[in-house]
Amino acid sequence: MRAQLDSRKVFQTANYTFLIGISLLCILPFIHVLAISLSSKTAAAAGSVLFWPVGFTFKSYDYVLSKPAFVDALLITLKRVGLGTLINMFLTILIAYPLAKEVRDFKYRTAYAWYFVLTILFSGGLIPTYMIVNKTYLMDTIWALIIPGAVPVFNVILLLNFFRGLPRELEEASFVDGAGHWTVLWRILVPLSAPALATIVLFTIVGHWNSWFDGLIFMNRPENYPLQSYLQTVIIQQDLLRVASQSLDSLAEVSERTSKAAQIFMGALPILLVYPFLQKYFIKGIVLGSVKE
Amino acid sequence: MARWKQIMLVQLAATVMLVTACSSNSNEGNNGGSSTDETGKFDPPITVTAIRDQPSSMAFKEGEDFENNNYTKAYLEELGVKVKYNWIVPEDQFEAKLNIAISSGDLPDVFRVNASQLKQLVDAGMLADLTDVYEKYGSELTKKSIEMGQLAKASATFDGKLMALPPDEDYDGRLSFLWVRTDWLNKLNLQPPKTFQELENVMRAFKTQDPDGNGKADTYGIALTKDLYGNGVGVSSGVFSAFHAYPGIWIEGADGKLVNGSIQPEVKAALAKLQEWYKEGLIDREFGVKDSNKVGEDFTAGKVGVNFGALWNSLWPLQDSVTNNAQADWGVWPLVSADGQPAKNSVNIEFDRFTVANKKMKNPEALIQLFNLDNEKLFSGNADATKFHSEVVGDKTYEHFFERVVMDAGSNPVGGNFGHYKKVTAALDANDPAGLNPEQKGYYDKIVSFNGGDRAGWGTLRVFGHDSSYKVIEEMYKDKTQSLEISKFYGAPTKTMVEKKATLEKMQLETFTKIILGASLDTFDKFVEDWKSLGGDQMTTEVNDWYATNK
Repeated sequence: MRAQLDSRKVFQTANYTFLIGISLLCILPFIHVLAISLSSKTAAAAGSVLFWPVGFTFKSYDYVLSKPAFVDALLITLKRVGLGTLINMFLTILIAYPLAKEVRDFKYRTAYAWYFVLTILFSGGLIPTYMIVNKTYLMDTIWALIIPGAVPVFNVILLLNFFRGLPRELEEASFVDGAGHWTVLWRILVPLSAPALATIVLFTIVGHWNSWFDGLIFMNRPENYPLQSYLQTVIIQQDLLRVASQSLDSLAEVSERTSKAAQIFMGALPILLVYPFLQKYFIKGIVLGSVKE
Repeated sequence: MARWKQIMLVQLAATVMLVTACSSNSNEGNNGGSSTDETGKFDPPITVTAIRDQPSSMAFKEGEDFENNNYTKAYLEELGVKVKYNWIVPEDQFEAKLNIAISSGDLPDVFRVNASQLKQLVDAGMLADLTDVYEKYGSELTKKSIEMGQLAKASATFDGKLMALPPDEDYDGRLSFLWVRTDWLNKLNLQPPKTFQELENVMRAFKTQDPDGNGKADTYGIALTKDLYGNGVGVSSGVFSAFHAYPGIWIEGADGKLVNGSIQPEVKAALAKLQEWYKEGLIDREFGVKDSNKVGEDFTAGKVGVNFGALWNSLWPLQDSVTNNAQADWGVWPLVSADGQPAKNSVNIEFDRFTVANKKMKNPEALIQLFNLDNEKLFSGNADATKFHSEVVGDKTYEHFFERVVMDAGSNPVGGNFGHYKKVTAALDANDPAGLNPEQKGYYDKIVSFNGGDRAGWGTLRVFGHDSSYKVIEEMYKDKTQSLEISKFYGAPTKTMVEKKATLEKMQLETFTKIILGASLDTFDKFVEDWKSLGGDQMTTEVNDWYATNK
């Protein structure tokens, strides 16, 4: 008995140490970036900033917030997240509902399911996607960032499985009481699926927030870049061998380390704030949604 | 993920080329009915489509943008050419976006390509032959600027046809210099190193004699980055050159055939020296993970006082060290040799920026005329510098020359940065900035302000001032055969290079790093064998085939 307790203690200590270590690995880079963004330029250039700001100043935040490029990009991303999440969620729910039916209720269910799953397995590839976006005149509009990914099939499958886990009796009872498919979906299934929906909303928001490559490819002017595409251009290392023959002045920008850090941190901040809120809701949702049969 | 995307981009660019070459694609923006009158003006005006990369330092005046500025106005008024940009991206995204545009056949009338894209497009027959329009329409300045770089022109010529406007033939940016903390030299009563042995003594003194006077042994001998020879800061090429080794470029062997510099026995000697230094602690223990930004921090923190780097090192990263420390000063000298032979700078000429005209463009002469106008507005007797070069309004500088359509063609017919150096130093001697263009005036002002006590002007002083990197270049260019080892191969990448070069370079960097960190020197012989069998021999054959016809 005693030995068992000891071994459990050892296990727990090791476990906690390990998990705390992993958490630190995730958090420390953030703290480092935050510390640099709050430090004076000279301290950052000398590499003397680790986890605590040296020569504390808000200058870089002042500078970044007065920089139209950053603010514009942020607004575009906010627009994209708002519109994109709305459209994604609407389509996900609409598609998940019929696919959650049994074959006897919906004869071609399997065929349709494969039709969607196929797009996970095989994508059109970069160039064809570009050509379609180009030929449909979506280039350089916010829709180029939203429409090509409007149906996140993986999320559809998540939701579909959740719908299937709900008691069929609820649905049947509603039909008996005279409800149509529309009413069943929006008044019975959707409210009951809060935990699944919260998870998917989180996925969608993070996905839209973080994606940068499509912005680079589908936008024809840097002014139209969403935040992450813009940030990517800020932090990428310049090819210094090219500099000499061009303008030597641009070299002064290389050591703008503090403002780069400020932009990176501000780019991550909103999503950091969203996470705990949705996660909280998500845990609560699981408890409320559990089926008592 | 990023790597996968890169590979995919390259592959698609190559394969879809076939498809697009065959598909018919109407190109809006061409006006077949327009012709030039005797003044060379299009009537009615034509529209030329283009694409652009936007440098990070570029700013527009209020109300101006890429399609509305002094250049576009001049294009329309004087040439009858309206410029329309299909897309604009930040500098570093240009290549990726262009690859996609090439693959999907969505190309503008005039655009810039790199060497391998140029070859692909020429092979696919998608580019206009510029030979005749260049001869017929090229202005005197245009021709001068192109003919100044004969090697560059050759690299844009395929089967005797000029398929692109070549880039400038400029070695300056690829040269390495010896940068040493002069305040430390003075403090320790040392002379600037003239030979490799003296350099080693200086490095040892910097490590062991506490040059920063803080009582701690926290300095090391020489800066080195994980890239060893890339990126222009903390490079090792100074050490290789001291032993007459030229890794990465193609040199002529004893039999007159080209051989690759990376696998020559001299490289082994240089690696042995670097290994010795590492063992002795003259090289940072952590150099294998430091990029130029990290090494830059070491300069600023005063940890190291010897650096092999490019001519602009004083502007960045050394400027930070001078701003941070009221005593700090760096001097710049040519490379030193380990024996009696002079040390030559290894120059890898890779022409990688070509301006081309789409084959479907109805008036390819417009490209030449646009370039003519750029040259006239920038370099001729009636150049208007504030309108077309750069303009200072308040504390902002507007660099109008970025607004040109043809950004990277030809050498500067009046001498480029080297010309600036001559003008600026002459003005400093005469104490009279009259006759300087705005760019030169900017450099002049910074140097004067440094002399007046503003340390922010130091970087410019060491590039364009009297004791500067261009001063060293001036000496070097007096006898190029004694000071430069220029790569003998400057053609488009060969077939095997496209497939294998990246892998071989990676293997080379890994092997060299391992040897410096202490692996046996025999590892180098093994590397030579592997290099040859993994595609190096094939590359050598291809390069020699090219050499036989382009000698």
